[in-house]
Amino acid sequence: MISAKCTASDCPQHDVEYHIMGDHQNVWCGGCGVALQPYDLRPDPELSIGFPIEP
Amino acid sequence: MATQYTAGLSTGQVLTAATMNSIGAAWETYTPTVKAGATTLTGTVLYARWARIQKTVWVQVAFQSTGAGAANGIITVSYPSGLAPINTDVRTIGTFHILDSGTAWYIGSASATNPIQGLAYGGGNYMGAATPAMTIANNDVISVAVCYEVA
Repeated sequence: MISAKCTASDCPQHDVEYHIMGDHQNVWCGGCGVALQPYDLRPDPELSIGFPIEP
Repeated sequence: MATQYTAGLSTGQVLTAATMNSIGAAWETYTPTVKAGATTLTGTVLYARWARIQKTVWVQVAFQSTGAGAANGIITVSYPSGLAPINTDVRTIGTFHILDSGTAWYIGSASATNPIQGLAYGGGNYMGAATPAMTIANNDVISVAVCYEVA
């Protein structure tokens, strides 16, 4: 998991911190489309989805 | 942005490996804004990616909330930047489901509205506001899978 934040002042998602699981190559801002610089790389947490799902 | 195939080729142009490899390339990660009513939800992006081949876009999102949303607020998911549908009339472009954690899964139809909203069976409004009316809470999951045309 990584965290990412868009710093563009005119972006509608400006300064909103996102926490993203899985492959974190090429993370793009959903607000303005710029490439984000992820930080705080850490292991993905275990999911607690709420119900067991049989494979 | 990104490395998806957007066409724009001209007559006589030499096709490069980079161009050919962009067709059906690895999907791009983005950061969707997920809202319940006017409230932007905080949470974890379990998966939020899109792919594009010329005028066709696919998007899949799974977002797990770590905070509370508005009571009975319409739940919405944003498109990748610059990739809203060419037509945002109400019609289905995919599926929309909500896990009200510990309670139920709710399954609906994703609408081409901008941002994406979900319609469930028998509802008189979009999911979150009705059928089911709900307040998003910790561990709830909002997920969409859509395919649509862009300009």
